[in-house]
Amino acid sequence: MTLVFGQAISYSPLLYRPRERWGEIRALLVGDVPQPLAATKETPELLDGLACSLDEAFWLAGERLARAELDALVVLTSDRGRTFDLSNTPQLHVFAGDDIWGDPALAELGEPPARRAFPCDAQLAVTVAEELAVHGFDVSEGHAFVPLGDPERGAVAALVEPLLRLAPDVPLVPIHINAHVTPALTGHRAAAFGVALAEALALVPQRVGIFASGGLSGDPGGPLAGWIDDVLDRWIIGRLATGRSHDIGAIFDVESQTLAGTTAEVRLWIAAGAAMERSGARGRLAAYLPLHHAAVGTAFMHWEDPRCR
Amino acid sequence: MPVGFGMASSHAPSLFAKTYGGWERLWERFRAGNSGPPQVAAEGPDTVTDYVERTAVAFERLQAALAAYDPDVLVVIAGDQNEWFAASNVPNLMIYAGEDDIVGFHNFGADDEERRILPWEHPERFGVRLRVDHARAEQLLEGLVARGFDVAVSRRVPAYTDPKRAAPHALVRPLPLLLPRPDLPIIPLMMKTVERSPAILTGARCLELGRAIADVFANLPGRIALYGSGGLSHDPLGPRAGWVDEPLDRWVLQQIADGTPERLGALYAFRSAATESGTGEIRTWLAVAGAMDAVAPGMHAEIVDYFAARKSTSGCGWAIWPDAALVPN
Repeated sequence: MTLVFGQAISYSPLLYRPRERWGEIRALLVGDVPQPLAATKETPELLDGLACSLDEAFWLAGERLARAELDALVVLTSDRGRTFDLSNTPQLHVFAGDDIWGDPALAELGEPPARRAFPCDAQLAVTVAEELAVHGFDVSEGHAFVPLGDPERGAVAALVEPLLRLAPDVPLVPIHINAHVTPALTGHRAAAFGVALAEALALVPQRVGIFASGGLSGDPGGPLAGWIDDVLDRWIIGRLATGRSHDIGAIFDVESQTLAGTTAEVRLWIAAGAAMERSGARGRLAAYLPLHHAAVGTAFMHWEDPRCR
Repeated sequence: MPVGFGMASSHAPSLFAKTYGGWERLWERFRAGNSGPPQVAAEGPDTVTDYVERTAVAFERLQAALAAYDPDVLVVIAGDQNEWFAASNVPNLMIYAGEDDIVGFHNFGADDEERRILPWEHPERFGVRLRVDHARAEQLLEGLVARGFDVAVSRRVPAYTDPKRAAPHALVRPLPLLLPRPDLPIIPLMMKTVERSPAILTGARCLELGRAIADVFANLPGRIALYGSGGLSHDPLGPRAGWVDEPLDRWVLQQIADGTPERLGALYAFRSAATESGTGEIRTWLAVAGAMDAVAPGMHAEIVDYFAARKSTSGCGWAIWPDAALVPN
């Protein structure tokens, strides 16, 4: 079994910017949407404390990743119109090129371009794509990175920013799971995909990890921007912590405003959870911060051998 | 009204040339330096004339049968050859569900002239415009995703690679010969077929896809017809150019004629030089076969014609799954 590591971290640009800029980031993400009362409790003092908690969570996440000594990292993200455009948005896309790049700069806030590239393990990606197809997953594949949706910015920031901070040099296998273009694959399908992914990775000799970046609940830029469904987030985390990722698949059988936005990216967590559970690991929550300023329920989760508990 | 009619055919470029000279020129172009099998030498003017006449009859037969069924929409299952898709994003399945028409070029007679005519330079003669049933395309897209098929979503006509070539030839070449009226809308369901990729649908998956298509439309209004575009065995521009795998073609045709499409699930379960390249387009036939078998289990397809035209590089076949409502249970 060579799937030796699993981690999932929510994504918000706020998580990767200094505390003193959180106000302007929040304004960008939330706009003029009426905010929940809970958001008013995020006082400067509380936010200072949360910033420290975030730093600690990232430090621990980086330590865990480094200790895993990975040969390659499968990165699960959901494109939001950057890599793909309306002419061809895949449900599942395995990138099998040599490198991928993205620019996470928030031009709206005057940030200068900051394109960063990451090495990829094309050969491993080809193997993964083949095995997924054998398992009945109709994956799209790419052998060259040509972003059509946003040719200037490339891969989503949810791929670029966490990897820059945590693992800039580990070769990647980027996999896109559609969450934002309807119809998107079901939650059950995402769980089955995770299982198939783990079975594909079990065939390779390398030490491989899975990293999901996106979610949890939130709707930055949308009609519920700033609102966080912490009840849903905690239920999802609870399911992942008890090896029941498949239960989470059912949430997308329902249509609800709360399942739009970044919540739709819970599919990434389902897939990661299902994959890690298939490898025998159990999820463990490192931190959960229902941070309204970030406009997403912010969780750090990793998967570990249950004997280590 | 469920899916009620199916058909499939080859679409090799030579099938749209009417002269021996045209066939010769296309052979020279697509044999890619290979000498081909010994049978090529036997395909002289008389043989090619016979192929040309049979091709016309076969396409007319499919068109007449489709007209008799009088569909509201034709689901066209087809592959791409660097026309819509570039290396950055090649789907296994994709449905174009946009509102814009699909525009491209056929090649009828383009190679019959001594000096090759480039169709995209003569849109007035070669232009093809295909209407899309946007609403039903959305229904099929949603229905297939709900049933566990990872269909890429397209709501804008892809425009990549070589804009001069425009839409995939698997759509715009055969359809002018098949549509009973030019404004009959289609739903383009694109499949990965010829890409020599290991990450590609197995035969069993193609049959499942067909069954799912039938299931999606089972309780929706409208008369639905299916068309599988491509095949049979061929490797144009490849090392096996001209080496038609006639036993494979005849086995495939036998299964659909016998109403035993499930046996075709064994196709593409392994990799082989004989089943990649153009031969991969038989996947489109499997999807139609799976759908028609779901509608009327054991339905016998009519093999309209088949010939192994080495000089076209292709095993050339035409088949019809008759109006399902007329098939006795």
